[in-house]
Amino acid sequence: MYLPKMMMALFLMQVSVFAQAQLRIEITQGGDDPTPIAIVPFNWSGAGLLKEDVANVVAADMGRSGQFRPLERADMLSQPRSSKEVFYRDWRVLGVDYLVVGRIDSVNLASVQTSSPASYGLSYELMDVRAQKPIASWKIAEVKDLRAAAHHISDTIYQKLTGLRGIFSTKLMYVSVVQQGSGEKVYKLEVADADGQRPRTLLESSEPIMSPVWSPDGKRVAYVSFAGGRPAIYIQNRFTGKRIKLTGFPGINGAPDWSPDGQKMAMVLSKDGNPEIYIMDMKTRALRRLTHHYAIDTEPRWTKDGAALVFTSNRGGSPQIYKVDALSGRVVRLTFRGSYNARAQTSPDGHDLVMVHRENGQFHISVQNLQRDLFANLTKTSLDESPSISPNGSMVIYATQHKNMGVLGAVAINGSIKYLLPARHGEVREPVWSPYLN
Amino acid sequence: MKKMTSNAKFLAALVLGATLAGCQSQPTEEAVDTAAAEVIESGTHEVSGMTDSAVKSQEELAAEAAQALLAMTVFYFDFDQAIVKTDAYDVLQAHATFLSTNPAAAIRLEGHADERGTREYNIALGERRAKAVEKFLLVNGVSADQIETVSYGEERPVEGGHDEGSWAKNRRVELVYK
Amino acid sequence: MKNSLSPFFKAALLHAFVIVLLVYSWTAPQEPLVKPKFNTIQASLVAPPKPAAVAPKPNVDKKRQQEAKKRKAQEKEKQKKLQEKKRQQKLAKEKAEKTRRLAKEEKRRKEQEAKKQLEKERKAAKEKKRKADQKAELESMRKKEAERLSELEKLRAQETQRLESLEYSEEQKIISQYRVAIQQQVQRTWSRPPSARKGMQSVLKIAMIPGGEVVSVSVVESSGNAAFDRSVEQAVRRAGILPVPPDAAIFDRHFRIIELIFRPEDL
Repeated sequence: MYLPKMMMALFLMQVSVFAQAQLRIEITQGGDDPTPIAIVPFNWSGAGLLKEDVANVVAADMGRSGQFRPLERADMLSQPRSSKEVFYRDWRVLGVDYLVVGRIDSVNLASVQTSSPASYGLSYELMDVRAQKPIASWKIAEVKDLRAAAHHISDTIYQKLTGLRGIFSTKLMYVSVVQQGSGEKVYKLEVADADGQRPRTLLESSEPIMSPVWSPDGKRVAYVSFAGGRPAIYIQNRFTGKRIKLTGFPGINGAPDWSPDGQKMAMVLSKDGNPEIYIMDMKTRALRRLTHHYAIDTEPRWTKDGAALVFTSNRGGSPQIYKVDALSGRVVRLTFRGSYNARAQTSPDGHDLVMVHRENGQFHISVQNLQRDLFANLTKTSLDESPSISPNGSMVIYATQHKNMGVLGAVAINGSIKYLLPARHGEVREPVWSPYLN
Repeated sequence: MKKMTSNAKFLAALVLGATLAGCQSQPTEEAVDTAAAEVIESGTHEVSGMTDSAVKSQEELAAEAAQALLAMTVFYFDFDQAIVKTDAYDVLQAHATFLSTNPAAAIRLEGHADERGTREYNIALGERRAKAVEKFLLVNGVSADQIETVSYGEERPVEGGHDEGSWAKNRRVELVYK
Repeated sequence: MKNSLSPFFKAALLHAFVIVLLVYSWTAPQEPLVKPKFNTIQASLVAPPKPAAVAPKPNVDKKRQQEAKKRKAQEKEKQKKLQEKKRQQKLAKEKAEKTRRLAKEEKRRKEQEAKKQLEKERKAAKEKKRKADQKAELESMRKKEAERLSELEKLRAQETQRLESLEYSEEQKIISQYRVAIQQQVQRTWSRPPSARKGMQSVLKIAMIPGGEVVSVSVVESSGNAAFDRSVEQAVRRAGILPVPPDAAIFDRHFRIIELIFRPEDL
């Protein structure tokens, strides 16, 4: 009766020994080194010079992500126009993993009569140098803005290779302050491309402008303006410039933040005598007070699910980050490290909390993992503030001091790369990363 | 600019105060206090030095002293604190007396913070400071409708440096006669 | 005895209570009216004998005889009725007595029946439990036996394995040495995409020629994330040549085709 069973066991053992013959090796660790990539100058079939060097813009985008290392153009052995012209061996020798080639054709020439600018058609291919084969190819039928097209190409390639949506077509909003010759300061609310280029002014004022935020669809912005000598929260349409005053209560009107569904606006008001977090219904303009504490409660930021907000409070004796349920108002403390943690924001996946953190008297941008007990300083400079997370959760933009000037810095949330955005004249502060805009 | 003109009426007192206070220029509370004290204590002593000036009566000296106190319109705070320093009490008392005897006068208290820390938190901190000064004036007989408070946080520093010297001057409440 | 008596006692108590309750609830609300009503009742009681007194009495003698006769007959009739009534009452009493006796008997019978039924059930339950216990004991014995056997099998298997490993120990040493070398080499060249997460896994099958040159790479198990899969392929291709044992036989047996499992643990 038990004999067949025993035979079975022996047989099973045989199988496992046989299976062991196929060597299986586990790889559980790896690096986060940037991947080498080459963006070959796009071939322009038309006459004259183009206003934008598309490949250059794409290469700069890829490099700024921290996940790619674009090959210097001078090091390229050839400049193929399509995958058919590629000698993979050449690129392999250069240590490149991926290759991008493309071409630009004229679709419509610029017309002086109709004053319409020229438009272009673009096509580009992505190749795997090691596997010696094309991965994908794309076409842009007609486009006028070559720089925007270049950022779009960066987004497409980035997503293909990383599995994450690119942020190269997003925008940055920030406040710039320029001291005039007379000593008067001019405050400007500006919006620029994610690479800091092409800034556009949304608002100019001789009184401070503070705490700008984007609406979830990116079409409108909210901010605090001291025009008239008192703070008030305004909403402004980014395209028409039309603006409305949302609040102008006695005391503080500050730190607006749109709910992810766009239906509500969190804000700080001190109309009841003390800075508290309120939520305004954007349709009815009805206010609901969310916090009730004699301490300072400020800097509310919605979590991505819209169910809660993180905020700064000194109710425990020093400024720390707390989380409040948007409905019940139940409050939980999130940070315990150090004696100054403020202006926090949660990452899109809700795993990380990015904040301003003081250590040894210096203010850094830091990240705390909310699931595991991990904490890291992303910056090492001393007066870093106003962190804002990119919509794909990979980067953090912040304000810092460089050569005694307020400038913008960007750092990967995993700390892999850090760079300063091109300096402008005057101070630049309070950067906010836009949501995806297309 | 507005502040400059509104304070112009105290110019004479200011000049006197500054002369007597010596070359102390750091506007810390200690300096303010010393200046005020010297006006009173050295009133008679200084007469010999003033060749053009006639001998002043006690009343005139008291009035001048009060004027000197009223010329002090900036109050400083410690880092992350919103507590009025005790050495500011005399000056604030002088303002309280002036305001309660001149009900038509009105002031604006502007709270400020240094650049360290986050901007919105500093707005809250600036408001706390303005309210602390407001409270002092209210308990000393000033009517609530004579006072308006606003906080600028770290948005309007008087000093642009990134050092303790600059920060100390930026952590302040400015009292502005309207 | 006390038990059998108590129902009667209870019943009596209950009756008494009901009566008291009735009387109380009847009279209580009428309390203020009690006196006047009593008066009217007394008045009506006085009234009935009046019609007899008002009866006419002409022709006294004849009428008296007739009346005496009539009275006698009436008396007789009355007597008869009385006797009849007494008889009826006696009958009724007997009947009631009988019913009561019957009821008592019926009750006793029923009680006995219930007792019998209970006894029967108790016996059945006892039997059932006994059977179950027996079964459980049997089951546990069977289980123990099975455990003992499986333990035996395990030991036997271990012994076989020990013998096998002894046989291959030298070869195994070489294999594990190169396994670690390959692991380290690939970990160096693997650059994980930002979308890589703990819990993802893809398996590559790679073919090599003697000397360790990789001649083919294929994904045999996808992580579901194309960028992740591409990164692991890239890691192997970037490595190009993997460290393999120079012994041709060992290479052929174990390294010609290997599988690499990519499973990030530190993300």
